[in-house]
Amino acid sequence: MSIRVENLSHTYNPGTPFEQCAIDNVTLEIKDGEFVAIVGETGSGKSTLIQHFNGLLKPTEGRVLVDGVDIWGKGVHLKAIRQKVGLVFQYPEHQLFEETVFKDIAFGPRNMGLDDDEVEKRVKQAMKMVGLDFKTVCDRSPFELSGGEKRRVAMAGVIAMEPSVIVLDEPASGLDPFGRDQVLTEIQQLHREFGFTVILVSHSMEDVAKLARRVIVFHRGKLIADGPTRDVFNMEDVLSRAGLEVPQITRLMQELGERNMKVRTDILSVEEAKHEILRVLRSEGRVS
Amino acid sequence: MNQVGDRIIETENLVYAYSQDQEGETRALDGINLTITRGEFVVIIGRNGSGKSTLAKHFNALFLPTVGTVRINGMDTQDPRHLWKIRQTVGMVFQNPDNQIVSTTVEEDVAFGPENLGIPPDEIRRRVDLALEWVGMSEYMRHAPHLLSGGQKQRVAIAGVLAMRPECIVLDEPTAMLDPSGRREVLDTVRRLNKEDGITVVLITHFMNEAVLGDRVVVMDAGKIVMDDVPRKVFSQVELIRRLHLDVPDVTRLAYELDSSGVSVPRDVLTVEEFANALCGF
Amino acid sequence: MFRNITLGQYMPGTSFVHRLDPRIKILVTLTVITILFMVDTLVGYSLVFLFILGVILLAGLPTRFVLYNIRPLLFILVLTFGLHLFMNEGRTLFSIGPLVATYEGAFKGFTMAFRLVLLVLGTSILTLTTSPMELTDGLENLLSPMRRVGIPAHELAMMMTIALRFIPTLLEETDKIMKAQMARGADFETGNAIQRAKSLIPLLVPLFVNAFRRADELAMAMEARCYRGGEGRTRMKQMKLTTGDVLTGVVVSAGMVAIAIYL
Repeated sequence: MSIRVENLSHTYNPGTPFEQCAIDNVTLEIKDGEFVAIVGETGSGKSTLIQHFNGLLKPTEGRVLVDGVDIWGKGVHLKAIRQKVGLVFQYPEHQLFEETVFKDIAFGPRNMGLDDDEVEKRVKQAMKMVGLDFKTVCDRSPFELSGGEKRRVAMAGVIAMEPSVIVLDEPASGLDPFGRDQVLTEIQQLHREFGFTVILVSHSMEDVAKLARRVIVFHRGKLIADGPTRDVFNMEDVLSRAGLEVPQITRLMQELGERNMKVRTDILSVEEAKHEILRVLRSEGRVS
Repeated sequence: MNQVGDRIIETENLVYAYSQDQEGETRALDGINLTITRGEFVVIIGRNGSGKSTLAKHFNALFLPTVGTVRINGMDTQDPRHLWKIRQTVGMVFQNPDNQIVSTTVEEDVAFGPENLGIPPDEIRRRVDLALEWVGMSEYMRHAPHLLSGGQKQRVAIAGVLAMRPECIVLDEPTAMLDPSGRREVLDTVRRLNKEDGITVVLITHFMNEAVLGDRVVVMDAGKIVMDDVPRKVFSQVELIRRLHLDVPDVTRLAYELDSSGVSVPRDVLTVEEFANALCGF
Repeated sequence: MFRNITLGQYMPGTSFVHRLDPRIKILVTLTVITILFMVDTLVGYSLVFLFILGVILLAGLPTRFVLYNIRPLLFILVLTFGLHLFMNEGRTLFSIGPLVATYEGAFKGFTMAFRLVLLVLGTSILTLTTSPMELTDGLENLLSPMRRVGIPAHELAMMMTIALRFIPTLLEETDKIMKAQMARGADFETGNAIQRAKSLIPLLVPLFVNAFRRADELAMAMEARCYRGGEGRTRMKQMKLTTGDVLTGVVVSAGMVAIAIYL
């Protein structure tokens, strides 16, 4: 499923002294099966943008096309769009409300009007996808789970609607390093194993480097860069203008490059850095 | 005030237990012995639920020990006579910037602490102006807090603590909800407070790149202190740290990996600078 | 959707009206409200209207924006006018079936609607030119003599401050939770009364849970900053009544009373 926004602008409180332009004439397309990261500071417009993908916000100007169909056109059911484009908000555990984990995850599927068997099947499947054990967790209250578990329940609540695109706003924020790794690994699996198109909104460049193949950079409501992760991470000036930090490992390789070591500077992970440094040292005969 | 070497925070065999649903008792803190010296910058790390926050809340008598003692400048936190002196001595900044700002304008919020201490109006005014200048928020004096960015809100919270003239600031994951520039703002402010004003800092964090800024890193697990040393020593133990479900800075991990593959790089590098020096120097 | 609420929001400024002692402003506003209930002539209302208009101009408020404040009231205004138009006896203006509109009704309806507009304008000038902090301080100060009869002035003021501080935060949160549930297919807009009430559960439960969590954290943060009630507490900003403040208060009130007596 593809999402395309054309000349999208969004203004809050138009015509009042509190008027504020959150998105300024943005055009972009996300294709079926992609893993894209949208990065930028708080207030750069990224959160406003993603709320257009499933019709929670209506563009002030421009169009939003899901699979080529204008979602604000006549005869389009927004409910159906919201089922196809799943949106997981930041701190999604703050939206849990049911007595049991099962019921909470089932909220979405039930709103779709599915029968009990189908609902149960989907809840089970969704819990499996986010690494929650059905038997031990499903009858517990979501409020007595740990922070990481709550977040998984909330994610499962969206996944259970079986969307084809899943949009996640800062899915790892506030978690400890271990919880962070777990959630990110699960998101990667959603993409690799279950074939979701994933749109990740984040300001953690480390996380983006690990997961996304394409990065879109926002700054003050404007799209200022869009390209393969490696290329974007090498545009230091763009990232610093957007108030973002290059991952430490990329910065290290750039620093080594500046000190005349002939390493590639478009490195994204510790693993890659290790191989690259070994390669160079070997070619220089400094290591056997 | 700034004698080096004297103890500002001291815990002795500190246990904090709370009873769960059925008789069972959980020990959030289990025999903590920790001494923090005036002027130190101490970082506490540990996975969620390891007891870091609970420990921090003992430092200004928000929580009281079940067993053992906590002393602030020699004052026992169990003694109600010292309560307000202790809270004025050790200020706290919390994780969620929204839930610690009380007033509807920045300056009024910074004045909240000194007002509670019963300080005369002129003096409060002076302290508020100074504190806001310190954190670089003077121009936002009359702004409404909910319109500020996360980093700005945390700086206001820090100013609110500074206006009480504390000797020590405890920050409980102050950057967890901030974006990179907000994090930088807060960390720069905290470092400056420590280096220039000699204020003792206790920083709790999940970000290992922040942890390396400390003079000392305390690692907690299951209510106990499992490591307590300079960052270099702590993070060079890559395997132990990862077993504790924590992380080391990426460059430290790279040094460890390269060292294991036969490239001799010191395992205790902490920053890009150090790594580059080590690799290009040999 | 809640970003659109602007009713009575404080607009900072340095005008004479802004600088006036909040206690005087509160008392004057109360006087204006009382007078509005005593006066029932168009001339009287018009004089009050001119007074309010003068204050708006003096305070340098954008007139369009102040009038914008009335918009949410439009329905009530039309209803008030309509009811009076048809419910009064007198000379017939026109009739729709059994409903007879009268000249007297039109006049009465107009004055009633006018009075409502004046009430809203009068109070919104207070909140537009007085920071919430000054407002609560003023109230606390005015109420403090009543502490002896058991009215907890400090506690009330503190509650009001915290409420004002958290209203924007909670509105934002409501908006966010609503959207999050809508993303899961929740429907807040259709269905009968019972279905709609039920559909609010996914909104209200998290809202309450989060509000309690916030309250908990806030209480702890306040304690950490040595809060222990109003006893022994000082304030940074002392309210000082100047001769100008008192004079303004006396002149305006006298003017209002004169309107009430003579018109």
